[in-house]
Formats: sequence, structure tokens, C-alpha cells
Amino acid sequence: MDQFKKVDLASGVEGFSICTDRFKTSRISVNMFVPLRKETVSANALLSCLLTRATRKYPTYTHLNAKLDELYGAALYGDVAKVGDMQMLKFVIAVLDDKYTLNGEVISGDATELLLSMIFDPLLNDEGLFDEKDFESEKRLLVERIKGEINEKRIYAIKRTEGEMCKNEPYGLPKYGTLEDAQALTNADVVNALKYAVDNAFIRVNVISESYPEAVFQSVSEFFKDKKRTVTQKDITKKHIPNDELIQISEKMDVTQAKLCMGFSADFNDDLQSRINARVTADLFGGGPYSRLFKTVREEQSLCYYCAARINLKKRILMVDSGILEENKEKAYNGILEQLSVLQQGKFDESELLASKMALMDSAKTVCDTPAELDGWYTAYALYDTAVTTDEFVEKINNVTKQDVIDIANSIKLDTVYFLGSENFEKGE
Amino acid sequence: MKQTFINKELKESCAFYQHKSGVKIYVAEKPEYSSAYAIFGTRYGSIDTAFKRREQQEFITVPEGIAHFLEHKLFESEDGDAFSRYAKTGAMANAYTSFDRTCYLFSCSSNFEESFRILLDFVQNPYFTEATVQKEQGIIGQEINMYDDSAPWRLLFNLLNALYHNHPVKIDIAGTRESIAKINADLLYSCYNTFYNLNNMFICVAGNVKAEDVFKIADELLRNTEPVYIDRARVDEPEQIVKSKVEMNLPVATPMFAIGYKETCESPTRTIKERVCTDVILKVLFGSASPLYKKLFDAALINDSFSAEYFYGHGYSSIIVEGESQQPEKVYDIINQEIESVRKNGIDKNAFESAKKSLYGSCVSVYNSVENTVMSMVSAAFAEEGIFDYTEYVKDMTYEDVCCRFENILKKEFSAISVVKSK
Repeated sequence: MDQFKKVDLASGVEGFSICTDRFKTSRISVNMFVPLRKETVSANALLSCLLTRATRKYPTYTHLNAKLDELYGAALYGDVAKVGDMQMLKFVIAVLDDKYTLNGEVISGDATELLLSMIFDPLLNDEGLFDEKDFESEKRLLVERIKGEINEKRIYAIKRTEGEMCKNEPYGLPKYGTLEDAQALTNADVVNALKYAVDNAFIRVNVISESYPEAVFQSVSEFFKDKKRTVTQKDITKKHIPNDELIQISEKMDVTQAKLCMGFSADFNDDLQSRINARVTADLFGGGPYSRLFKTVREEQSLCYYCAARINLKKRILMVDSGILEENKEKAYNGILEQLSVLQQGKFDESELLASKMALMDSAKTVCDTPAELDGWYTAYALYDTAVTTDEFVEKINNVTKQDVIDIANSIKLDTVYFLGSENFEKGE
Repeated sequence: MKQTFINKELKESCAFYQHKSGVKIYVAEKPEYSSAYAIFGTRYGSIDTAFKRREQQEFITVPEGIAHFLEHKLFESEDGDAFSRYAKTGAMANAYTSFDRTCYLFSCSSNFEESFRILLDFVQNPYFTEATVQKEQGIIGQEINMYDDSAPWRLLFNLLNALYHNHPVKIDIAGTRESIAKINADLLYSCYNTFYNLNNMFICVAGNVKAEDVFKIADELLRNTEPVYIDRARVDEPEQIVKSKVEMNLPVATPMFAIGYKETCESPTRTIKERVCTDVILKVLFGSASPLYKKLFDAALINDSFSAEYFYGHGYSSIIVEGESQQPEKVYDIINQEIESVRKNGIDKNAFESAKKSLYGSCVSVYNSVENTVMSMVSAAFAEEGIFDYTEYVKDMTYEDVCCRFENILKKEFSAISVVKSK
């Protein structure tokens, strides 16, 4: 059994360590949570990449990457993600454990220093700004990344549905902001985003390593020693408020396969058991190959290549997405609603519920088997008051009954329908 | 025959069992992990379009996409599909077909034995009827539609069609709607009986399992069959490429490019030395610490999607460099100039040392996950190499090996560029 430990490093700054000798690498992640806001969403996105471009010691991207190669190909990256109505800036370094280096080099210290200096002692010029050239290149990349969101139609369709469904809530913002937001960014905006994150974000530092994480934690505490921090709200997330009328959006593009996305609102309490009841319901609806959508809409009716459901437990949003022949739009739409009604009326077998529970329990237990998944699991619980171990999760899944599923299913209401068809498809059909 | 391979530096080991049925079985025990991952695979992929069993007179040519079709169909049996059997164990099951192999897999953290029995059972028991074949044509037709819309996928196959005249690597793994319409139950059985012969197959397992338990179940469930010798029709692939440029319109934000350098193959497979040296050269030349990367990046000609890979299989090998750019042609020119300049000035020695360390680091990190461990076992089993050979060679390779290899690859005259951009 791995050993877990949570420590307070400063006001609103937590350290969380998982001590294990299972892996060949150590992984450190610094996770900073700030409210999702239209004004700052793009600045944070740019910040998450810009910080990983250079450090004081390795002032160019080329220097920095040569150093990473030197550290046996250590992986260093930054990114942003939406966690409910919060935006998470995540910075990670994953480096080979010292005992596996070829000539006995000690590389863990350098790796830790790289990550922490990048965030807490970043390379700024005399005016307190980022290098202008680095800023401009990273801005170009962000703009291209935002434009590139249409490349993957499946993801694009889901994002569009979420955006429309939650247009009056922070969660409706795109994770990198809009093209206009990104193009309008200034160097000072990004410096302000950094200052805000350091002074006001709730921060969680995770260390997954064989050796004791004390050195990492000490460096972080040291940095915050004389700093005043105010974390006003750890998490501002509110559940999605269902739209008064059904929202229907139709879009055309040069595509062969059409996409149909249906966003539903759900309602359940915030305690762990209720959240897990909802997770099981969504999985039984459209998770694995045993799920209703897979078995009927895909396999029996051959209406789509994929048809899946997933749930956002913080926002209480259930999203069904499918890839279909466009002439099957109505059939697929009705087929999906029919399966929801099967759940609502409890017309499913205990054996189906059991299959879903077993699959979820099984996959929860595999979380401990990769550093990235372990990191992701405990980061996801950072905003809740207590961390949930995979064992506790498994136990709660075991408790879910048929009636629990029926109750959750009956709280699910269709909210938004999005359809992406080809140029030839009749709009509003 | 059983034996165990141990690598003390990596603190890893792997048990091997040459089963009497012909199947090669590899098991890496990782008791400190919660889960296990298993693959039952065959040397049969999309490139196997013309073949015969040794006792047969004539080569048969089968419709494109049939290996992938067969993979879908194998999940079915007379009394339900394999997924519904796995649903009782909680395992997550899947399968994939690539250019040269088809693999059936599952991952689980409990009930390994039951899931492993399901795997061995359904892969050995085909069940195809005309009705089930017809239904599958609908589902796979949808999958093909999805690939038609995928810019990276079209980019790759357009490139392969520009590089290869005759080698079947240029055909889509799933085939076309027209080609799969020609598939019927008889053809499926014919492919199955040729390529799913146990002598052509391997099993790789890693994670929280005991090798002896795996071997015991294999002894119980693997059927002894007469070995089949497969002749694959010889492909005459000229050294030259088909055309140096191919372009397609699809809705993408920034134009995508893939540049391929076709390699002349004297033997159909690539040695470890060739692969390791190539991987290091790609890192030195195209990696994010390289002068080329800096030049292209500073000129705003590439973004962070820029990458290079060594793409190889039976009878084909190419280096593919891809990315996104407003000026793909310019990127192509600058890359060719850089290759020439490195030919003239030689590979930077420090860059070689760093690239070697970096490659070694990624080899070791493979053992972090049971899935990646199995994938590397599959590659080794497939190439009939020792499990740890690649990693060992990374340690041993010299600067001279790499320089020598560089002379034979990345030839401009055998290169082509594929571009996908919006209208």
C-alpha cells in the first residue's frame, strides 16, 4: 500500500505526497486553481505555456530542451484545464529516478529546481515582463491551437455543445479562451495572471516518488515564507442551471460523418455516494460495451460508429456524443432518448448494472498503476475537502442500487442539442 | 521450453514459454502493480492482401481492409459476443489492427484468470455468417467515414501513396466502402485459417499475474494445430517514389504537412541497430533542442505539433516528419538544407550524447506502466528479438554507428511532401 501524506506549506498551498518505489520515474506537479473568467481565461492559458519556455538558468527554449535531454529526457510541460467553474494551471516534471541513470548521475535535484524556478522565479526582464519574442511566439501558438480546435470534429462538437449549454456560466468559456481573447493579449496581462495565481490561487503540489518529497515541499514553503496570500474562494463552481427552453444548434462543414451531441442537465446531492450513483448511471447509459447506448443504438440498430455518455460531476452535466450518417439524425436522436427512458423506468437488468459497477471498480483500481493517473486522481479531489482513495471509491460503487440509478436517471433532462452536418445537409431538418 | 530473461539494471524480468502449439508466450510479473494487461496477437495486418499457404498452388488476393474486418467479427460467437462475456469480469477489452499485426487485448485489476480464458477462447473460435457480415459492413462503413474526415489520417495515407508504387502499406487499414462490400464469410474463414494459426501468434502479459498461472491456462486452452507456412506474395517496390507532392482540401485551421523519406530496403525488416541509430538521428536533427527546430520555430514556420518518427514494417521503411505550417514548402526546403549541412559538417557530438541519454530515459520509462510494458514485449516478440535488446543497444551504440547510419537515410531524391489544407 502506498503511503499518502498531506501537509500545509503556506496559506492556501498544500503538499500531497505519494511514496512508492513502483515507478521508474518521479513526478512532481504544481496545480494552481483560479476562477474561470472571460477576462483572464486566455492569459492563464498563455501563462501555462510561456513559463515552460525558459528559465533564468536556461534562458532559451533550445537551452532548456538540451538540459531536459541531459536529464534523460525529462518531460516538462504546462497546460490549463477546466475543473467545474475553476481553471487549473498545471505544471509537471517527470524524470527518471536517480538509480536508473547510466553513470550514477543524480538528476532529481536539477529536475525539481527546473520546475519550481520556472513558476516561482520566472525569467522576466528589467521591466518585469516576459521576453517579448517568447511572448509573441507563445501567443502565435495559442492562436493556432484555438483555430485548430475545428480539426478534431468529435471534440469540437462536444465543446460547442458545452459552450452553448453553459453560455451564462463560467464553465461555458472555452479552455483557452476565444480567438479574440487570445489575439488581444498583452505581455502585461500574462504577468498579471502569474501574479494572481501566485498570490491568490489555491495551490496543490503533488509529489509521486520513492524518495521523501521533503526537499520539494521545503523549497515551496521557503518561497512563500514572507508572502501574503489570500485565497478568497477555493472553488466557485455552481451546478448548471437548466436552460428554460431546449437549445438547438445546427452547423455545416465539409464532413463525411455527421456528429450529434446532446447535453442533459442532471441533479443530485454533493456527497460522495450521490456523485458515485451519478457516475454509475452515466456509465450504464453510455460507458463501456455493456452500456445501453452501445448495445442498442450502435450494435442492434447500427445507427452510429460511436455513441457515448459521460458526466461532469461538478457541473451536473451529462453529455452524449455520437458519430452518425446524417440521414440517421432523427433515428439516433430518438434512439438515445429511448434508452434514457429505459433507465428512468428501471427497465434494465441487474446484470447490466453489475457489469457497469464491475467495470468502474476495475478501472478505479488501475489508477494506482501510472504516475500520471495517480496525479490526476488526487488532483481531481484537491478541490473537495477530503481526498478519496481508490479503495473508498470502489466500496461506494458497490453500494449503488437499481433504485439509485432510476432516481438519478429521472433527474436527467435534455437541455441542448447540437448537430454538425455536411454542406449538403438541409438545415433545420 | 521455458526460460526467464532478467535485466538487473532495469530491475525487470520476463518469463518466456514456447508453447507446443507454436504460440510464443511472454509474461512480465509486476506484483507491486494492481492491474494486468494481456495481448493475444497475430502477424496479420492490412498489408497482407496477397498470400497462400505453402501447400496451395495459387496466391489469393483478398479485399482491402479484410484483416480489420476480421478483427471486428472475431468478437462474435454463436451465443453472444466477447464483450458480454467480459462484462461479467469487469475487464476492459479492445482490439486493434495495424499494418502488420492484429492484437486482442484486455486490462483488468481483478478476475484475471476468467478474462484470460475468454481471450484465449474467442480468438480461437471464429463464427461468421452472411447476416453478421452484412451488419458489420454498416458499422465499418461508419468507421471509414470517420477516417475520411480525419486530416492526420488522410495526410499519412496521401503521403504513403506518394512514396509507394505497389507496397500495400499505402492502402487504408479499414479499406474502402467498396472493398469491404466484397467481404463474405468464406473469405473471412480463409484468412482466419491462414493467419490465426497458433504458430503465427504470440501472447504477452504484464502486471499483477504469475507466469506459471498464465502458462497453465495456456496449456489447458491452446489447441494443438498443424503448423501453417504462409507465403506472402512478393511486392516489387521500386526505389523511386511515385510523386514528390500531394495536396488535399479538408477543413483544418493551419495547413498540415507530412514529409516522407523513403528508405531503400535490401532486407524486409530493420535491425535493432538501424532502428536505434535512426531514433537518435531524428532526435538530434528534429528534436526541440536542435538548431533546425530553433530556426523553423523562430521564423514562425512550425508550431509545437512538429515531430519526426521512424515508420517501418515488413518491406517498407520511411522517416516521416510532420507538423503544421502556413508555408509547408518552405519547411521542406529548410529541412533538406539542414540535412545537407549536417552531412557536410557531421553530427554534433554533444547532441548525440544528450539524445542517447534521452532515448535511454524513455526506454526505462516504458516499464512504468503495464500497458507500455506489454507493447514493448509485443514489438520484441514480433521482431523475434530479446525483450531488453533495444534498451541494451541504446546503451552500447557509438557515435560512429550513428554517423554511419546517417549516410544511408534521409535522401532528398526519395522524399515527398503531403499537405492537407482548407479550400
